[in-house]
Amino acid sequence: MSTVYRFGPSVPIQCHAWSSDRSALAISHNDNTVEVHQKGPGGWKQTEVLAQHDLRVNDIDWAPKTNRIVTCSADRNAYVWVQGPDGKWKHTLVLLRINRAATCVRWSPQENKFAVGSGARIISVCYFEQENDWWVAKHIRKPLRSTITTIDWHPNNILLAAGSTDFKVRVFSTYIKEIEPKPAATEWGAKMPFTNLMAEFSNSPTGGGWIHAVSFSADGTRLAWVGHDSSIAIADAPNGMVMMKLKTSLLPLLTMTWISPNKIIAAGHDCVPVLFTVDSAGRLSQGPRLEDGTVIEASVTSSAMNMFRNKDRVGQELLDSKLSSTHQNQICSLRILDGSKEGATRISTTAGDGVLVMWDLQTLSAKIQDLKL
Amino acid sequence: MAESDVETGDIAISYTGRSADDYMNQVQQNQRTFQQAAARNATKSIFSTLLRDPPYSHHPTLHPAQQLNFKLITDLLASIRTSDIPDVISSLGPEERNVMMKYLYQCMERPEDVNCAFVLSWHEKLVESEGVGGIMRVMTDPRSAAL
Repeated sequence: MSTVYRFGPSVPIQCHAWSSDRSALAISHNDNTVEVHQKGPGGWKQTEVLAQHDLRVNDIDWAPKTNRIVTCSADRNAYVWVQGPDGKWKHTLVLLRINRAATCVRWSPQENKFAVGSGARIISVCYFEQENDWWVAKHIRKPLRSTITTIDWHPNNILLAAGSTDFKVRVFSTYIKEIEPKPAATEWGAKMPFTNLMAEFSNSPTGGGWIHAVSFSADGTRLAWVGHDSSIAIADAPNGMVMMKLKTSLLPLLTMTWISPNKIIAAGHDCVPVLFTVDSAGRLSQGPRLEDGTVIEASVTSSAMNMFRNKDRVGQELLDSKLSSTHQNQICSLRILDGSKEGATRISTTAGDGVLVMWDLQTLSAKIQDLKL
Repeated sequence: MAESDVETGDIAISYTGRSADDYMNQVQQNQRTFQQAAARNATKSIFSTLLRDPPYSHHPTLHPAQQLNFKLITDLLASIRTSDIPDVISSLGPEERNVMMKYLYQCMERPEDVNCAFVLSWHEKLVESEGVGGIMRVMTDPRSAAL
């Protein structure tokens, strides 16, 4: 149902990305390197360390079709990594032309460009220019006035959703006439010149917390996001951009993805993924958690003895702070392992406890009715 | 933030556009409602009225209304028996519970002004119904109901 993998010491895994056949995994342990692990008969083996960044790597994305890795870091740079014939990853620097940290990066669906959000209040959209043999970055500036925390691409390869620390979610057009044909009209609007703001949603009329994750549905008609005020919201483009927000009683969610046209899995500070369903009227409702808390046995006598033993050994009483969930710390990254946003059968999560957990939604759906796709 | 630091020209008087006098009238009216209800021992019924549209503002002209409202809400909360607290909470809507949670945290900021026992009882019962998400919504809400 859920398989747990450890990669070295219990250092938080900030971000992770899978290769297209899921035999290789790129993770970053909250430092300036990216580890590439290969799945073999004996388990996971670290094959390479991509060490080019000077400061913490904030996000990784692995393009499935073209097999390229892009990493972005607090050192204001992004690198595109291509695998050579000998299997080694070769890097190319991408000048993002930002003067603050890069926070998030995602390949576009057709993988001919990628977008980088940053603390410079700029989104850099980068594409490869054949004549000069280098990556060119174009900027989206207006009307961004705050750090971009999360981005997600629309399936049409043009529209980009960005969540920000000014409590707003925006949809921009990233149409670059040098590399792609003019896009057809979508539910988000007909005119899509580069950097055009197609839609803007405020998480709450009075603040509402930073936006932690944003995600287009599989067909791109709906946009969902999670905010720090423990809420999850959906904007429905075909229904007049109407926004529906659900205030949960959980701790704030940090990451999310659609696993079917009307189901979302989100996870965050509660350390357990939670299912949300969207009904036909576009309303969100909270579903069950993917796992129930296992009861931690703590017999009275042993805990009192442990308390005095710890007092003697360490000089203070140690509290037993083990959580009843698989993850012991907040889940910061969630990816679809098998399937797509149309229908996902397995997802993977990494958390601040340095552990990667794969959740098999099909076997879990035997226990949790709502999960059945 | 000290009153002298505030540049009053830049800050809106209130989030709803109502004037300071308007809010003062509302608070004084609510005080009368509370006194009448307290005399009849029927304060359970006036929660919706008193928790509606509190004087949220960072502007100094609303501070007197905010002070009075804070005293009023704390008196109201203290007037309910512990055993009646769950009934009152279940009779309130989500926006009113949010307002109550904000006032509870204001009470915690000023322990010298309030009797802390009732604050903790109310907080415990409110968290049972709203969860930690309710606390997060207070923390991420910039509207201030008191100094």
